[in-house]
Order: sequence, then structure tokens, then C-alpha cells
Amino acid sequence: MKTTRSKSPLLALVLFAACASGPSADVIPYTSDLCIVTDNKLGSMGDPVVKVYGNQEVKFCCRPCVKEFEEDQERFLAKLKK
Amino acid sequence: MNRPAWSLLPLLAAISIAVSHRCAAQARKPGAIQGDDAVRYELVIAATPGAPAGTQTTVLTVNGTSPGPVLRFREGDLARITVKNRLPSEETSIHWHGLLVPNEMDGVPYLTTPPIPAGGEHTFEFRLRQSGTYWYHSHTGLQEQLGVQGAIVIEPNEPDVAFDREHVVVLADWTDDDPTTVMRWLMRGSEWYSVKKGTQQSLLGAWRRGAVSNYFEREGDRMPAMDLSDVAYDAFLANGKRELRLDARPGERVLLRLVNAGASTYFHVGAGEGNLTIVGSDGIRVQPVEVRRLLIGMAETYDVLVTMPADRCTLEIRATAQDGSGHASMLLGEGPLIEAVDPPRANLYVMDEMLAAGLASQMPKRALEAATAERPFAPYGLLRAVSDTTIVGPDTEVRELTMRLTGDMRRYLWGFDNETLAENSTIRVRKGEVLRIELINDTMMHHPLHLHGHFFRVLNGQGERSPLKHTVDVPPMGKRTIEWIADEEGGDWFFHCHLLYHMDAGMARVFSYEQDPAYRPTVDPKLLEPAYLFFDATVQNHMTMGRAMLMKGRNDVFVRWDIGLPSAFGDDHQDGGHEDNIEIDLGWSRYVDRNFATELGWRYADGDGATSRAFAGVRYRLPYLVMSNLSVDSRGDFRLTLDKGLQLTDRLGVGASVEYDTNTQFEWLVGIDYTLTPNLGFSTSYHSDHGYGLGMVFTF
Repeated sequence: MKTTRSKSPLLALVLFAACASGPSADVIPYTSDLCIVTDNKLGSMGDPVVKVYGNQEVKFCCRPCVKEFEEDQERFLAKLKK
Repeated sequence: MNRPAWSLLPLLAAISIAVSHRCAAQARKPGAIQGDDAVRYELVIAATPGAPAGTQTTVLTVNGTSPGPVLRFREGDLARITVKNRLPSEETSIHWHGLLVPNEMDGVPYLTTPPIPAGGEHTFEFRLRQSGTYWYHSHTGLQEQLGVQGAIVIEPNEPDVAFDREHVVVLADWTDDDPTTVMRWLMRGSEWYSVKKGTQQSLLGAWRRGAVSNYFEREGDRMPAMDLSDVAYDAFLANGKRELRLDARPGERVLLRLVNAGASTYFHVGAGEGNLTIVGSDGIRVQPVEVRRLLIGMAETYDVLVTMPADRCTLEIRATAQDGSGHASMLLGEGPLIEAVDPPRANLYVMDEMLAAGLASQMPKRALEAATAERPFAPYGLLRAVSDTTIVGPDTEVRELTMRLTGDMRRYLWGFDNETLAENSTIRVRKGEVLRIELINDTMMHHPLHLHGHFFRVLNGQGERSPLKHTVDVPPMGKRTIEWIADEEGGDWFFHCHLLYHMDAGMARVFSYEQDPAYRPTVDPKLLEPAYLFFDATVQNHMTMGRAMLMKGRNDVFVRWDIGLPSAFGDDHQDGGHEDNIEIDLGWSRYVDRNFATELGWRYADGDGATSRAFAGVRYRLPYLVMSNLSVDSRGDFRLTLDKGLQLTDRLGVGASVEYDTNTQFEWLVGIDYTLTPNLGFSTSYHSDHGYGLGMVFTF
């Protein structure tokens, strides 16, 4: 499992410049702007948390949502298929 | 469009039979004026000396008391209520919270009903189409916080619940501060109220809770500290008293009609012994359900049955503020005290309670667990209507809306979908249409949302037995879905957060039946981004720094200064001490979002080769809540400033600031401050230009 942390656009810019290769090409990007657990807007609870499960990128509004997700991954991942 | 086959009115009527027995009803209405076929009341609003928290102050009363008299009616009565304004200079209003009344009788000043000027009066007249526990309050400015409130009881034509004795209890919160001052403190992002009620987050507090890593993770994630309420109150009251004595005999079943008239306090209500049996919510009967403890949001009403123990005793029913900062007690009966206990206080260093509340609002199983926890959330998962409340048939068209609740404590700009009432006031509805609204709370606070003039179904997993309410708690990170039919004759109906200060800061909309796209409802100007002035400064023996700001909506006009002072201790430039330079910025700032703002201004500078110039810049919040400010000026120089504060204890904080300017080069500051009162603190600092200093912090 790969974990990254989205801090701010400025930091993202620095990371982008530093990592010319970028994220792995086979990772499916998370395209929603909502938390997969609560449906809150990403960014509304501080900086979003970004993780990759298998080859699926997933974004959370806060750290505690990661634990919720990991306790019932199938249920939450099903939301992505809708 | 297909018209729905059902409307809420027949449903409400079905809950109790709509036949009025006027004579019997009149006999049970103390304070009501007998006369023609109307049940008449006269309510006089005045400023009255009082001491709700023990200190002499002024209370806005209704007929000399706060809460005002209980207005009692029987279902089907014609109510005629004259409201007289005896305030010295302010206008006022009265809204009949939860009553189904014609739009012009709803009592929202400017929007539906003319405000009542000082010395004036207004007579309301409407037929009561429902029964249950409701309340009335001023809808003008912040008068509700000052005491303009009271209960309404409408008896059903057929008894619908058995009890031996009944008491009406209006819960309230009281501050000796002027509510306008409260609002100003909130607008400026002051942390004084957190200090006062012991919920200020600090490194020491985190260490005591074993949450130091959570503390820094939160700061790293640019998440400001959390709290459960905005204001530190001086007293919590039940019918105007901290301790309310109520008659009850051993073994009796007592019906408590609870009204939360608090301006910004959720209460956990629990008994010293036994459970509370909920039999009504927002005036409407529900199937009886027992709870150990009940969370009641602002503007909600609950009817609960309490069974007195068989032995002679005083049974305490305690209403504890959700943040644990105090409580009001109802003492039933006489004898040895069976004391109620407060629920455990929440650990605000972790987000667990907020997330649990949010998930409980989305998952039926979690909702049931949450309703019976030691710190329960709203009991909606347990509530079942006594009859079918369905309003959607197979052919009914449903208009679906999503409304996001937005805002934050730092700026105190609250709204829906990132817009305040001033920025977007109106949602148009067509008569007869069914609306299903998903309310998603993108904030870390509870919001009790109230819809005027209509009841909505709270879709809580109970299907056709979904309960009807007029006010719904939307918990932090949570979601509620409500469904209602626009079945009034027309008009403009207010929809807003009933946390008074959130409503004042913009969390409101108007559902308007008016279809003309050019039509704009007339909203109370006091709700349209009122302006607030504030000031804070440190004056030390070596320098003064500070700011004065006029804040209105997203815009600030500011003056800030950094002035070196002649040393009281004889330092000079040679020994690394003072430089008596002066820098004063005058400018305009625009808040974009919680992390970003722009600014434009003129900088007056004198001393050390500095020159005056215009500047433009941005402020951006970095991880670990480091505030950066990058600007360019009219002489082509750039300036970058980084500021960081860290709270060590409730009152003791440290701060550091570093600035690089291509004209004046490096400058830095480290300091310590200690909060004494809301307006005063100690401060000491070392400034790279001005040297060491000691002095005071002033905040107004």
C-alpha cells in the first residue's frame, strides 16, 4: 500500500517538480471531490488524506475516515463503481 | 408536474381529531383573555432589570419575565395575540416556532411581517391547525439571546398520552455579555470563550489526554482546533432558573414538555434514576421510546415522560450543555435527592466524536448505537411516527436538492454551499411540489436547521413512519435527508441554522413561492453581513504592534502597525537594541477561503532608509497552521512573512514571526503572551530591530 499526504498546492508544486516520474501509471485516479466515507467535500476538514489500495487511489476528508474505510473496504469501494 | 396525493396537513390532522371544544379549553388557559371566539393574549416586550446568572443586568422580558408566559390553546382555537413593544428604542418581532400559520403571521421581520417599532404593537391572528409543544421567540437581531422567548402548548382534542402531571420547561443559555459583543468576539476568531469554559486546546492539554501526536497531525493537516460550542455562558437556565423546583408525587408519571430555547447550546438531558420516554418531538406525537439520555438541539421540543420513584424523593432531571461547561437542573418532588450525573466530556483533541456523529446520521445501525451512548447524538434513529407520514406516491415527482453546510470558526462566515444569505438568499419552490433535500454538513459543528411554516419528514430509515419535524440537527461531518411538500398558500419562508450566531453570520435561505425571477425577498438588513470593528495590540517598552479592523462579510478594512519606541531602559542602536522606525499599513483584504486571502494597501514607513509605498499581496495558510504573507510593492520590492503561534497552556502561548523584505532585509520576532481577561494579557518579546521588551496585550 502506498501512502501520500496532500498538504497544500504549494507543497504539491514542490513535490511535482521533484518527482518528474509522478504517480504510478497503473493507479486508477480518484476523481471525486468528496470523501469516500462521509461524502464531505475534500478540504473541508483540513487537507485530504490520499492513499492507494491495490491500484485504486482513494481520498479521505480526515485521518479517522481511513480507519473507517479499512474496516469495510468493500462497502466503500462499491461507491466508486456507482 | 404531478401533484402529490398526500399533504402534511391531513396527516397532522389525523394525529389528533380536528374538533374544537372551546369552553373547556378556555377554562384551562391562565393569562388568556376571554371574549369573542378567539383565545387572546397580550405580550409586552420590555427591558427589565434581572440577574439570571447572579450579576445584575438587563433582560428582555415578555410580560415581565423570561421566559414569558406559556400560551395555552386547544387544537382548532382561533389565536389572537397582541405583541406590544415597550423597548426604549429597538424594534422587535415574535415568531411562532413550529406553528402552521399564514405567511404574514409568521413573524419574521421584513420578510413576512412588519417589524414592531419601539412603542408600537402588532396583532397576530391565526387558527391552530395542530397540537403539541411549540414556542415563540423574537426573530429580531440577537434578542432571543436576551430573553424574548416562551412556550406554546396546544392541547389535542382527544387525549393522546396518559400522564398524572405536566410541566413545561424552557431551557436557555445566558451570557452577561451583550450579544453584539459575543458576535464581535466570534467574528474576530477570539479564543477567549474556549479559555473561559476550559476547552481551549493546548500542548499541555494534548499531553494530558495522550494526544500530542493528534495535536500536531491536526496542525499539519491545517485543521483548526475543534470545539462543541461557540460561546462560554454564565448560566444555563430552566424557566429562567439554574435550579427549577417542580411538583411531583411518588410514582407519578410526569410529562415534561421540553423546549430548547438556547441561542447556541445543545443540551444532554438525563434523569437521576430511570429513563426518559420520548412521546413527542417538535410538537408531533411519536411512538413511545425510552432513552437513558437525550440530546436536544436548539429550537427543538421534546415531550418526555418521567416516572417518579415509588419512594418520596427529589428526582433531578439535568440538562447539561453539550460541551460540559455547565447545566440547569429540574428538581421533581420533595425528599432525598437523586442526583443526575453529567455525561463524560468529549475529547476534542481527536475527531472521533465528530466522525461518529456524522456516521450515525448516515447509517441506521450506528444511529441506534449513537442514540443510546453515554454521550448520545440526536435520537432520530429511534423516532417513529404514530401514523403513516408518506407524501410521495408512485406518480409523484420529487425535486431533489443538495445543500452543503459550510463555514468555519476562524472567519465565522457561515452559509450554504459557501454562500451567505447576503450572497444568495432565495430558493424558489412551486406550490404543491415535493422537495427532498440532502443536507450535508461540511463543518465541524452541529447545526440545527429550522424550516418555517412547514413540517418535513426526516428520512431516518423508518420508511412510512418517518417522523415529522420542523427543526433537524445535522451533526458535524454528517448528513440528513428531509422531505416536505410546499403546501402553503404562498409567500416567503425562512430556512436557517437556529444557532443564533450562525444565522446572523449568514447560514440562512428563503424558500419563496414567488416565481418571478426578478423577485427578491425582503430580508432583515441586520442579517445581511453586519459590520464589526475590532482592535488588538501589544504595547511593550520597546515597540508597539497591532491592528484595527472593520470586518464585513468577506471584506476587511484594516490598519496595522509596527512602531519602535524610545527605550525605557536606555537601549540604543549600538548595543543591539532599538531602531525607532515606524511602519503603518492601511489596506483592504478579501477573504477567499479558510486558507487564502488577498490584500491591497498603502504602507507608510519612516526610519532606517524605509520609504512609503503601495503594496498588493496574498495571505496563505501553510501546513502546521503557519500563516504566510507574500506581497510586492510599488517600488518593486518583495516581502515574505511567516507567522506561527503555539498554545502551551489554556492561557500561555508562544509565537514567532520572520520577515524577509528585499528592501529592509531580515526581521524576526519571538514572544510569549499570557491571557488574563478577554481584553488584557501580558506579553514579552525579542524583536530583531527593537530588542527585548515587556508589556501588555490589549484586545477590544
